[in-house]
Amino acid sequence: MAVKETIKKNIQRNLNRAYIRKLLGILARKPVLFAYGSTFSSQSDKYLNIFTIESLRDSYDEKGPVAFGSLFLPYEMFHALGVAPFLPEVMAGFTAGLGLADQTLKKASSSWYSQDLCTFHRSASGAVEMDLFPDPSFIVTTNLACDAAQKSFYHYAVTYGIEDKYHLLDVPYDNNPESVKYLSGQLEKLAKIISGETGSPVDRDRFARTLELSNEFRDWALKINDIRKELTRYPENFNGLNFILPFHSLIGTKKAVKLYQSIYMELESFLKAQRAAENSGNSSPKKILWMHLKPYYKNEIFDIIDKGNCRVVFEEINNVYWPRLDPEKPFESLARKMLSHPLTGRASNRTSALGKMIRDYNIDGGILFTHWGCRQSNGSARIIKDYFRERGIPVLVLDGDCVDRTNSSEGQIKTRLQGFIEILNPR
Amino acid sequence: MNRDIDLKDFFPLPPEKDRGKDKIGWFCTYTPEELIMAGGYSPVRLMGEKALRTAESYFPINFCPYLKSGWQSLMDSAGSLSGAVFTNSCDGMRRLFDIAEHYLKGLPVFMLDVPRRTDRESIDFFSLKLEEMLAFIEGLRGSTISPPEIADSAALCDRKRQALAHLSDLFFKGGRDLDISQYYRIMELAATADAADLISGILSLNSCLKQAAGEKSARGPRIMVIGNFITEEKLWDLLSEMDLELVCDDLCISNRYYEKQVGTAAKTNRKDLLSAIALRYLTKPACMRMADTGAKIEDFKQKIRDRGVQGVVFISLKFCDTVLYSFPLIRKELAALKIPVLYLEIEYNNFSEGQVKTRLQAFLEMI
Amino acid sequence: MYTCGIDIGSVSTEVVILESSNGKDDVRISSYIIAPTGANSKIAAEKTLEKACLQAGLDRSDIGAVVATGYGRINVPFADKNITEISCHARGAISAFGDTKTVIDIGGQDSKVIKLEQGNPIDFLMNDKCAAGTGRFLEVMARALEIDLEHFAHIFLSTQGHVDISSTCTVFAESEIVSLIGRGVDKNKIIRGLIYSIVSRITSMVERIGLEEPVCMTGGVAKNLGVVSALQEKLGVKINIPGEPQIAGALGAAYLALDLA
Repeated sequence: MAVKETIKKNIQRNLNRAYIRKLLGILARKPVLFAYGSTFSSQSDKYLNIFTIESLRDSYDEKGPVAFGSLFLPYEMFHALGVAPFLPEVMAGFTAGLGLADQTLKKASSSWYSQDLCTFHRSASGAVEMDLFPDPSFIVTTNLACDAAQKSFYHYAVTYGIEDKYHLLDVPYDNNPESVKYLSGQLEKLAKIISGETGSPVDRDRFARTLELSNEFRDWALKINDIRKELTRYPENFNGLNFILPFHSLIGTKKAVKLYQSIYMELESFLKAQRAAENSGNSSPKKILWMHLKPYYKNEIFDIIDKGNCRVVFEEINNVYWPRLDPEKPFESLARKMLSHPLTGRASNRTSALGKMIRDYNIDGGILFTHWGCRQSNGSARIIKDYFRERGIPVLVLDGDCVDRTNSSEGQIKTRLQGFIEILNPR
Repeated sequence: MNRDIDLKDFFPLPPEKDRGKDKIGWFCTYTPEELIMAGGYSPVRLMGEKALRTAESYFPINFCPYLKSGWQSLMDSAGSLSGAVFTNSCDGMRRLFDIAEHYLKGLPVFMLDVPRRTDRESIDFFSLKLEEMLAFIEGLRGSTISPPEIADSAALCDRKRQALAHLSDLFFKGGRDLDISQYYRIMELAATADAADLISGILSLNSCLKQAAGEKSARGPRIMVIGNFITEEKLWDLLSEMDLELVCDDLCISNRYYEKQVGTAAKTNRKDLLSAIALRYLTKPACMRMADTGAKIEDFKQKIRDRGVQGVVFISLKFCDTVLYSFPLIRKELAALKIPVLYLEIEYNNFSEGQVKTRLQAFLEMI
Repeated sequence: MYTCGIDIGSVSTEVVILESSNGKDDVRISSYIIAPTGANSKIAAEKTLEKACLQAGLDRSDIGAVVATGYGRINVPFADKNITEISCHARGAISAFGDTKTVIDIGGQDSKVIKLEQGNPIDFLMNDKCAAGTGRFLEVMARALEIDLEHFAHIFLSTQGHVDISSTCTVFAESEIVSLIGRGVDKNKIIRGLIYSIVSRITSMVERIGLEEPVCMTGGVAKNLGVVSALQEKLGVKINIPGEPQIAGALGAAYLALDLA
């Protein structure tokens, strides 16, 4: 669409922080924002884009403290402390979508980041070196789900001159009471440090309200996930892997609730239409479970899947993996949330979670996207493939790169996908 | 190579399989050997099988070579081990444990959770994890392990550490009786041989090594080697041949293994002993996986200052995320001190001697 | 006084004989030979040295000191010393352009960037693991395009526009251009794209080391004016090229041999 392409070209030509800030300022103005939003046919897409732009504008404006965070942090805490979250890894995804990754990756390479490393982190590191991000007051990271962010984010802290504001939340291996105690202690300590720096005290009521909003979001997410057990007809361009930002960093805000509520309503209407059309005799598509993430630059993967009479009906990343939070016990709840993530600890945590998804969604086939350099995920490929095989379900291990389009062969991906589709739809 | 000393004179040790005691394998230096020994087992660091046969099919190609080789060696030697202890030191090690747990059904395996932080809460948490490890070993043995058994083992490990520290001092600061290859061969032996045998060998060796009157006359620039799990013999041989003075190091197989003692004097109950062991392991020279990257870099700088280092050779196994993400910052910080750094990446079993030699030689020519 | 530098690469061997008088103040090249290395680098060194002596009208015994460099440098038993290509290419560049701060060497099978301070190397980066970014990349593509490599420079300089080659790997890039040719894409634009591709690998290395002028390029690929032009464009600097860039390593070695004689 013309507007998106214009924005893309302008950013590519003016790749600097001031321009990004200016652009976001313009886009986030209500009339412009709603006009932009109305260019999306799907309600989900509309609100996703609107809230993403607003969230980015909040961090680039730097009106209040900004914290860089890695993906799997409990962002409820940031919102409860009045700190604007900014996620370099998600931004890396955006660099791919906006055609900026070539530049950021080149910068990372000349800054001595090895090309054996994950491009989410490499692109983010390149962007930091190019000074494209807002100035952070804090940098928070964790070992969940991988080693990458721990060291690269520390480097960012040194670059921004805030080494003493770098914090690592160390999530223990097993999910048990000792671990909850240890981790909630870390969370509480961090909250006190952040509030000490920002000058606003830890507000228990605000925490409680934020956790309640998180629970509301969780409820809608569960409802959406429930509909998707049956849904195979989706709005155009709908892709569950586009909701990473709200699912992880907007959680705990009213916006996240509103977004997921609108997604639910949209999908519910599609389900009604699907049920109505059920009698027309179309063979239902083969149901695919997507594991890990996808290329965030333009690609044909999902088109090929849809044309092959298959449909990605669920993605691992959208699994609601954590129990309901207790607003009266924020640190304990958030510790439990982190410890419940299937990517902590042993691989069997992940395969158990996948097993439930296989059953709930009646999966016919799995695709594990093995993003280059993602050792925590790709290291489990054998175990995952065998787990599916024992249940009689084929898995395609699809090599590629989520951010670097030059590190991926379109021809190879096409061939593998088509081969897999033929396995699922034998003649 | 000028070799005044023949290691066989000091370490006439029987090969592992003849040593009699049951063995428990370990990979990472955050594994407390003393707990394994307290159970009456012989701790053996699994160095990895060079020739990968079936191991390759379990892991992606771009995966830590040590772990893949470790898996091959586990598959080959599972029958001769009573168990194996893993740590969650890094993503790779986590996955190795998963593969071992999944596919080697007959081998008892244990995952030791090692914190990244070193505050009081983390040390206490680690003590709890050490309790779990002890329980695992007690389960293998079939009986409880007593505090004196723990204390004695820790004391034995401390004696080994002390002997190794003294040896290192003599090696880095003393005469040229021992060459680089021999030094690192001893380090490898230290992690696989029976402790008592090893200690007596090192003590005799130490008394043979000449105490230098001053520092030896320079054969070349003063070099520090930093790296992860490096056991490539051809690399050590190369370094031995070249015109350089190796004046200190920071490696998984040397100082990060032996430096710092537990010190068990006046500790007689299980809780205090485990606490002391937890403290030692979390505060020994850190692997870069630990949280405080800034402190580690300061350690490097201190060593560089103390030992008058003129150049750093950074050697890493390929695909080590911890090192690869840390290196840009390390390079920057050392460049600010005007210390040149040579970065070398190696794998297992396909050491390209010519390429490494050229880089090393060029680096030395430069300094 | 005569000294000799021998550069034994995996594909070609170069020998340079230098004559110096007035105590090293007056130095000139007596002769130089470029020959294929073949299967035996020891024999290649011997034979090429013989040819160089013949050309200079000298006897072997006239040569005062010999320095060997290149991948086969340890196979020259009669060399007085072996010194790496880093020091030798640096010295070779300095002999042509005394104030050189950055050396870019693109050979048949490897490429390197060397940073100099007062004529001495203080940092370097080598690529000898991957064909992309070396002369081999261009050779492979020339075969796939069925166009002589000699024409590349002229085509680069006289064509407008280019096609982006996205594959970073030589093998995949070859597949990519074969399919581009199949789709009828202009071969000249492909050639430009390929040249930008190889240049991009080099500029990455240069950026890691840090670019400082003046820049000197050595190695066989420096004779490809298309590559030189593209490199100048992307780095934004003028690049100095010695008269015979392919012998820079051997030349530097011969100069370094002066210090030994």
